[in-house]
Amino acid sequence: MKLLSYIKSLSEHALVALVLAVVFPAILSVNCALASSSPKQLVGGPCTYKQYKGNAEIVSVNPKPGNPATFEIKFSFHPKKAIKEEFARNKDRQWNLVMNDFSDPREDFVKKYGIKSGKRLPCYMKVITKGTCTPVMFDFPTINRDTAE
Amino acid sequence: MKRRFFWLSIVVLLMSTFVFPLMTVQAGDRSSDREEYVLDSSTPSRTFPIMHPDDLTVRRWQDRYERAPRAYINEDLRNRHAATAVTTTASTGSVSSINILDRLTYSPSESQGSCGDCWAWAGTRVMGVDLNTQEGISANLSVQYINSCYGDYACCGGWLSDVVDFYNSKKKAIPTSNTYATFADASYSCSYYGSVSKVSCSKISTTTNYPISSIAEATITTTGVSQAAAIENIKNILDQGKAIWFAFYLPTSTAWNNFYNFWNNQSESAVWNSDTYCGQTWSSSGGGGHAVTIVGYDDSSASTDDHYWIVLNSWGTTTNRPNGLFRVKMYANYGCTFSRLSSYALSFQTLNIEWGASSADTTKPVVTAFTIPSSSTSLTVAINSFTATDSVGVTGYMVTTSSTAPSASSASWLTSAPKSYTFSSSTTSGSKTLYAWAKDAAGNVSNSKSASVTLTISSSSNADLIVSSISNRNTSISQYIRTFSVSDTTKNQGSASAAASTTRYYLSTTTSKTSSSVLLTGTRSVASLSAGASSSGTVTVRVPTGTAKATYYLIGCADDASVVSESSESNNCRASSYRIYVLY
Repeated sequence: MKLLSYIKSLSEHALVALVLAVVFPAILSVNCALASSSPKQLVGGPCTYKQYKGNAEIVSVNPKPGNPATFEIKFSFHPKKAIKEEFARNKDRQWNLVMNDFSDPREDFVKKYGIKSGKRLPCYMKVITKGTCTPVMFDFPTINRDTAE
Repeated sequence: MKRRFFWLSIVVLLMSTFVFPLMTVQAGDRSSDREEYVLDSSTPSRTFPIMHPDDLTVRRWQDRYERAPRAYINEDLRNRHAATAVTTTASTGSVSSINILDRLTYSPSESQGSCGDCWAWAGTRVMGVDLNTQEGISANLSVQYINSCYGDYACCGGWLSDVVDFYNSKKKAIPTSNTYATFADASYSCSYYGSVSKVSCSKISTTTNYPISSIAEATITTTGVSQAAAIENIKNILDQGKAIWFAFYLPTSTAWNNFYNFWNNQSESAVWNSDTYCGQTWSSSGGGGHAVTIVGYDDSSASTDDHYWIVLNSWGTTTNRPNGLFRVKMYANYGCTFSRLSSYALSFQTLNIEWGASSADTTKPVVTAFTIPSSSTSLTVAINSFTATDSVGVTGYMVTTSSTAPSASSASWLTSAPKSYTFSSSTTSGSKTLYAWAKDAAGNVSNSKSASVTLTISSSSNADLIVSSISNRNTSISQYIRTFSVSDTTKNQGSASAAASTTRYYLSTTTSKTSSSVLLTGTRSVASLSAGASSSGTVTVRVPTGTAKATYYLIGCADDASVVSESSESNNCRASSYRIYVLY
């Protein structure tokens, strides 16, 4: 009641200002909320990652069946700190080391970096945090995986 | 007291309207950067705060999906499947378990990496299968070709219609064995500015190529029909030897983490059930879509629960997935939706491709009318009529003073018939002949049609209008903010006075005004200027809807309508040193 009588006592200008101050931002807020919640979808698009520092331990180096000039190199990843994402956490998991053009490493690459079972290479595991790109990838800062070195 | 309340209310109003919303937006942007970052250090470090395309893009994709012709269903195949079957059901003789992966040349370890171009991978693989099915050619088609040569940023997402648009413009696909055609953007990511591809388009060799006469997407009917009909339709396309572009959406980050877990830690024989999240609420931050390629199915089990689609991903291999494949439950809910997402969760399309160069168009256009006044006192002569016809379509118009046919690749062609022609400032009085030409998309140039005019040049043709200065600020144009201010000075540097004119403004990707420059809404009227006089002013201009996302120069052009005869008509425009970034 007090509020009502106070409003009644206001001048016409003050009332207009009150309405503008309360109603206009309210309409804006509702519009913004609607805009931000409007349905949006994505096929592909921006992806973000976090990375875990660690070592890649070479588990096996074997000539590729059908193409003995190339090698199938498997490694396991040992992070410096625990991996938070369940999908990337399997510690017994082995991964393939391939060149940047996705081809299998050749003998000169294996020799150049002394790749053999038990060797440890500095490595970063990249784990996706947003988007629908490849969920787990690896970076080897001390080796060049470009095919044409 | 009341006066104080009035002003207080105004302050609150202004704060509510402008300051608080800005604070909210900035806080939102920062929160998305808090723990996450784009890994690739070779591109400028940036996080794309909007995980999704804008509404307009989404609506464009949806519209193309819904308007696309329905995929052809071969009635003969409904009960008799193709010869590429790997197993058959002995009792009925009908075929089960189609796998057309052997028609695709690909390297399983190929991966899109951090580039969000799954749509291009899936589409390119549908094309690769089709190239083999129709032409018997085994080639690993290049995805890098799209990444490097598509106008929009491939890593920022897309749809099958983008693949179609790209190849309809290029008219050829190329193999990865071409120079620089191997995928090189696995460590690249979506960005606002600059090139997001490691390889420039011009570096990619197209020497070996597979000509495309036409390419179009076709939607496979899976909604509004029974589950059995949806499955039958998808099978029918595979039975025709066509792969399927399959897009699926998951509504939350939890759902995606579960899918990553499935991908990383289960084997290729595990079956993923797309129904798990139907009915859940779409999260604008965690939800997302992914496109993959369906290359087969297995319905040989007695139990439909065990039937599945064979799906090729673009995430490379894992030790559990040596072929880069996964399986999707066949008897799924094809009408699956999420609340707050206006489309279905599953989309199925294929491509109809006509391989080979299209039959050449060798018919010249014909200029059917070209008339100008018989006399003029100005160097600019009105063109009363200029029309042309062609068996396919007229794509260019030109008027010259030479009777020699212009080259089809000349930069002087206009996309519409000009309304006037301006002779060079050195033109003297007398009888002059103009020649009108037309060309078509195949590069055929018409014979000319000519008309003559007698010029009587007055001294006023010595006016020379230029934009002597133009300024604005570096400006970003978004879907919501499309206007900005421009200040310019238009000067008459000629020796005679100039009549009133209009200065107009353009966006151009180069420092010159070209035929592809974008005319901005908003002009400045310049009063008559005596020799040496200038006119300065500021005007608000608006970027039109549909302007392509790019970085532009702002161009100001004096007497842009060419109403003043000038000693030089080639110096009317000037570029601003600041840039306009169109972000949508």
